[in-house]
Amino acid sequence: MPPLNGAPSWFKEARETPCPVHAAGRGRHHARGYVDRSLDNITSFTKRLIAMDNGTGGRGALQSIEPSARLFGLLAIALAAAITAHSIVLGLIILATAMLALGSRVGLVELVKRTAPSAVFAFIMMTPAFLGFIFPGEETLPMGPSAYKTALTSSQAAYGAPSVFFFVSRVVAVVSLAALLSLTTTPGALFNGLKRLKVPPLFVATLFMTFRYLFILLTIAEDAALAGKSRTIGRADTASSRRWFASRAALILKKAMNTADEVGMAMASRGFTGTFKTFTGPPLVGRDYLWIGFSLFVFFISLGF
Amino acid sequence: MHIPDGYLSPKTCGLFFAAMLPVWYAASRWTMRSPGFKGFPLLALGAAFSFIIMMFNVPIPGGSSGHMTGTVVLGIVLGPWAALIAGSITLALQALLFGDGGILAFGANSFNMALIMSFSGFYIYKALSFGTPGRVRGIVAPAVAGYVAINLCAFATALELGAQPIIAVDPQGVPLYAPYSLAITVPAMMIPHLLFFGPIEALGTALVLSYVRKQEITRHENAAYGGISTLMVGLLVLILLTPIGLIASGTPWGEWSVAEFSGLTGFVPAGMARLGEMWPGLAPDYGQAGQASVLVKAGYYVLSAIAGSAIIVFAIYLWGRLCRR
Amino acid sequence: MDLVYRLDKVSYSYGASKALDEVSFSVSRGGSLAILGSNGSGKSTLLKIMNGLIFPSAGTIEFAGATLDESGLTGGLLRCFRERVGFVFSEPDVQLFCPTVFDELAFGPLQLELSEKEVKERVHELLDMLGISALSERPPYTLSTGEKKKVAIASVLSTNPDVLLMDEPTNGLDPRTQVWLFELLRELKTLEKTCVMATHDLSLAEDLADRAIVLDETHGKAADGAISDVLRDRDMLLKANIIHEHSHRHGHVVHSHTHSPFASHDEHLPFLKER
Repeated sequence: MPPLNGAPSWFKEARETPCPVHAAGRGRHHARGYVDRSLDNITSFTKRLIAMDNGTGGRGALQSIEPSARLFGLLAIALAAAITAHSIVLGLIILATAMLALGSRVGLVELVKRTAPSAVFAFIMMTPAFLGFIFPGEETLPMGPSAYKTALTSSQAAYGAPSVFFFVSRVVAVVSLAALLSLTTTPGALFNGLKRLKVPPLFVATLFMTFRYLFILLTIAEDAALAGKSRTIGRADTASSRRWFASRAALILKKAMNTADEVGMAMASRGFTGTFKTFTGPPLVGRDYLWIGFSLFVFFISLGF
Repeated sequence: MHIPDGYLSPKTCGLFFAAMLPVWYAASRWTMRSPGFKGFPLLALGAAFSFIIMMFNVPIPGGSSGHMTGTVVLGIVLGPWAALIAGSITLALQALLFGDGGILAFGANSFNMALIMSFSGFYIYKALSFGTPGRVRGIVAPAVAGYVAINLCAFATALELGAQPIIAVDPQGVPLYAPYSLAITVPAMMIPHLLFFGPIEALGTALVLSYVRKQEITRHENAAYGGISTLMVGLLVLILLTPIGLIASGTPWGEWSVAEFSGLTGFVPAGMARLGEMWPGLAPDYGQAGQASVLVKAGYYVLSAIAGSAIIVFAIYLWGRLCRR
Repeated sequence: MDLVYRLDKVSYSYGASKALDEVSFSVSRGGSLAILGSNGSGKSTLLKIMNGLIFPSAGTIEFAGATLDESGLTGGLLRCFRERVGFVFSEPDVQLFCPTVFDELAFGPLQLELSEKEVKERVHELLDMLGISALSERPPYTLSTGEKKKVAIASVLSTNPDVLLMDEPTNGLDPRTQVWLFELLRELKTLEKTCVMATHDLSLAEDLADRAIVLDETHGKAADGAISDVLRDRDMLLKANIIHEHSHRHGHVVHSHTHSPFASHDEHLPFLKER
């Protein structure tokens, strides 16, 4: 029997005319909807996740250092950058970071790309300070070369400028070290490093699993957003967009909970009883000790200057 | 609301790490108590959820949109302790893996965004939805919880940032970290949160919760969380908030920082003096060096830094060898 | 013949909805059993009960003479049980939660406290045996569905289980991976491993199982017997909603086709050629 025998007549009606081509793009160019914006966020995030595993596995100076030593050293230097009150120390730290980036085949462009947004934000945030509202008073500038002063002499700006530059440099230093960590360390190496640094296994395992299940939830989120997009003809009103958002969020939450149950069972099934047992990593070698020594030296220097 | 690195002094960062350590420990104990270790993947999936939810734009009346944090949703659905861990995990992943900053400020960010939001959200929701809430209270309770929680979080952030020029200045009184005083940070943080992000979180929380209730996916076992009373948590939060109160009131910390600060995390070259005391054996003739030129002092300091680094590296090496045995 | 499993009137319910209703059967050592049933008939629940992940709300289940219940499945018995019984989930994604494929395979043996050296050897040998050494350092989330399934199965085999429980093993696999799986399972059969698979893939059951039980839509047992007898009982299979009127046979295999105009026989070709 023909399968569509019971279909209503409107369903069987074929459209004779093609879509009017001239109608495409007609009318006002309205702003992109919530769904589109959400979809943009999801796609760019997915790209970042995928890039994380491809871009960071290369051979380079930092990559050849054992993950826990790498993590320890970069954190020690970041802390040094946060502590120091001396612009020369800070400048040297930034220089060292740039050299590390080059030695690790990360490239300065990539590093600047990662750091620029934070630097710009910090700079904008500090603009009022630039104009001397925050640092009124005499020209008492203990840090920084006097070039700052001569460049902006006699105006009020001179009071604030060095502080602003110092603040922004500090942000640049710490952020670029964090960027360097993420650019030279694959997720797997990071989690092994954390484990060796005695971060409690509950947190390391949860961190990793969060990362891992982001992929699954992202797929669900992307499908949800695409489905929303494919069914939206014209622009949805706010109320229906809100309903759409809420139902998608609840759907993702529900999937997350169901997946969590299954994963828990899959772990129990393979003998997990509450404590994670993993391989102990390879022993540290000469270059790891050198690296730790270097980072500690930077740290101690920052305490004094 | 997420505080980037470089805005908080290391001392503040350290303080919040110290404050959060016992909280994380308690949270992990509470969470692991749920039977069958199902709580464990649930934390990860909860954290992943709050990542994803930040990517969805919540449309608010007036044609504008923004994203919600989802921490209050998690607090209500998973319970505050689990949401606290999930929130911290989200922040750690952002800081370490995505390089979004906030490694040193991780403790402070967890305090604001994970601890304050999940607990205040959960208990406000509980308080407002006593008995069997009807339709109106079913919407109002999560909305108020979301609104208040995110504003408390913003307020804590404003206090921490505003305290910086009080506690971290160089000898000339120039702020070394976030330079704005409380008079600026509080309105700068609170106005957008009261007017914009607050309504988004309120609306988002109420919307998601309405669907959650429809699908009956509330999970937190009341038995596990009922053991700790609201009062206890309230007290805990108060105790943890006290240091911020001290920072805010200014005087004790302001005095302390000038004298004590230079020793441990000193900003000034004078910190060298203290470091010399820390390693008396390595800089034995420090007394004379005190009268010598600044350059000689600096030289001594660099030498002792090298020696200190070497000692620690050797200790790590020994420890590694012993552990391997 | 000694029994691996003995289930006596096992029932299970999720809140108000029933998932299993008084199911009884037994599994003997070295046997291979197919649990047939439509979606939602309780197959997965039954497997989870057999893996001691959930416990019956009524009735009893015994594994090699030991009762599996909340209080009994602890300590030494639990460790032994986890070593002897492996469970392949239908969704490989839930099963893969370690940073690399290598770690994934090592997870089980490490939890069971084998020495690190032994674990490493075992993992390498297993990777070689299954022909997936190239995937060793890859993170599982970057694998294709077929590769994920292979790794999921490998991660279960690494503890060398005597009993293999599989939920929908062929679900979502491309024809080539299906063939790989068939060959693997046939080999495991020659090694006297007990195999229990929940499926609605009748050709898989026909090919690999000697026995089948059928769960119907009331979540009770509708049939239990030799695979050929069960597959011959068209009326019962129809009633249990495993096949429908448009099903027909190729040789011994009952095919169930959908009404969809896009269905063709091509999807079955690879293993038709095989036989």
